[in-house]
Amino acid sequence: MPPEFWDIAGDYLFLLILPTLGASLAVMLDVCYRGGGRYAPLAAALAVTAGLASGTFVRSDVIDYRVDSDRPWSVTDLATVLGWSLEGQAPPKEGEPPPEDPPPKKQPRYWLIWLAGLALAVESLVRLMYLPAGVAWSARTLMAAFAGRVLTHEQMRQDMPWMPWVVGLGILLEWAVLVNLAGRWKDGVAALAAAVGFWAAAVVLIHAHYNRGMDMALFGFAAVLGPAVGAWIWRGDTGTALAAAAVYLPGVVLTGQWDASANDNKVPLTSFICAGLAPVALAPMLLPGLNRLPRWARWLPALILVLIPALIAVGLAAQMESIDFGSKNEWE
Amino acid sequence: MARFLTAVVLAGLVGGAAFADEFLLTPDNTTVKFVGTKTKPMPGKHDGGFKGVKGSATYDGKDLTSLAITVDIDMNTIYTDTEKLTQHLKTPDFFDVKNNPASKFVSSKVEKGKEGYNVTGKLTMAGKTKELTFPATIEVKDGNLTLSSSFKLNRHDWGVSYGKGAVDDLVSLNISVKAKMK
Repeated sequence: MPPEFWDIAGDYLFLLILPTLGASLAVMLDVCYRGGGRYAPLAAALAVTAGLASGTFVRSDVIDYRVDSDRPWSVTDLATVLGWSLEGQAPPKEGEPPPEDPPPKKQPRYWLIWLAGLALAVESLVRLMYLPAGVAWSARTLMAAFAGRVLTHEQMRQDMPWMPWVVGLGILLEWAVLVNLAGRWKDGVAALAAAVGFWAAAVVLIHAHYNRGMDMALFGFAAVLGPAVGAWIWRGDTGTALAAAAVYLPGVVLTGQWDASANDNKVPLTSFICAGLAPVALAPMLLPGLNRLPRWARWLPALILVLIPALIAVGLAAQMESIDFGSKNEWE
Repeated sequence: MARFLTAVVLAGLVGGAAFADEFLLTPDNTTVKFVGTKTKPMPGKHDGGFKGVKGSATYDGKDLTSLAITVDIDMNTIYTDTEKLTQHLKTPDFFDVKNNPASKFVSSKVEKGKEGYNVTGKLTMAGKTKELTFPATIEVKDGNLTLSSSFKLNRHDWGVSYGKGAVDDLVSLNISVKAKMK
């Protein structure tokens, strides 16, 4: 690798991965140390939140979480921007002229962090209130459908009206697989699988020459590693954090693919799909027999299962596009 | 009386329009080039520009402070000295050309400056509209409009904030117009 690669890798390690992973791990370990494995769902929720907040504080140029940095936050602005994202237009106001200076229209990627937070809140509430399975899955399904709608670009919805439903289904599938395995196994393997998915997404997005997309995926990668380690040590359920991952991972890949397609990169769609849905490959581990494997016997097959789509994603991307660190390139 | 006044006003408008000099700005006579610099991973610079620049300029034929300029830029026509950088600049890391395929500058006033003129107007880029004032040397001679300008703009003002600390905030712009009267 040329010297500039190591400079870039060092920046990513110290300015993005370590601040996110450090905060996530510290919170996870602290809460689990005080409360034990039964506090793992709360610890995992707090850990990913702390990780993403810390990472965003250090790298403030990656995740855009404000409606408009030039004006004070207002519910009206939020409603207007959400209306654009949901319907392609601002919500109508009877008797009121449209604002002369509306807030900027936001692209679907803007909602990613908020939707992940909302999914985390839904999963936490389901557990805190001991909701019956039917009600819990209805809430998750509604959340997945809402995320599918908001994360699908307006133009994509016009071209393919079924797309929001497919995205919602993908999110729900990922949510179901991750939350079920996290609850059954209580060992951090499900969180590790989500981390593998984020890693694959990051590599695919950088091959599509979309750095911010890669950074957003790396935030997810580092944020879920904390719960993975904590759950491995204290045998806890990290489902709350994985609900956020189930929205954030397919979302970052979907919005990344859309955004990066502007530059005519040759990374195939299969690559993005395999990365975004990599954790779904763990579904066979839910089958009777496999889901009761002892800890020592299940982590390796689980890792192999999730690595298959992840490596396909990375391999296809690397085959079609290169990240050239040669003498005359964009990093020069 | 009202009819007479309307006729006078209309005549004035039509007459005014007839006497205004208009210049068409095309990719052949107008260039917008930029130089971006960076500090990481190693200091360097890249040259680029936009091939799809078009618009118009009008003035009253006497006073250059009456000049009104409108420029539209097709952001998909961006080019740089490195193909991979061109691809990167099209993503939401920078210009997000899929969602913001066009940039537009509409001047609101042209004032005499210490040297040449100061052009003020609204620049819409990357989905955000901000006021911009830049110095320019402007001349109209023998039916030819010549405008040249070099200045720096802060990319963060238009929300182009990715790579803070690695890619420099200020981007040098060089604008050149050599247009014949329509």
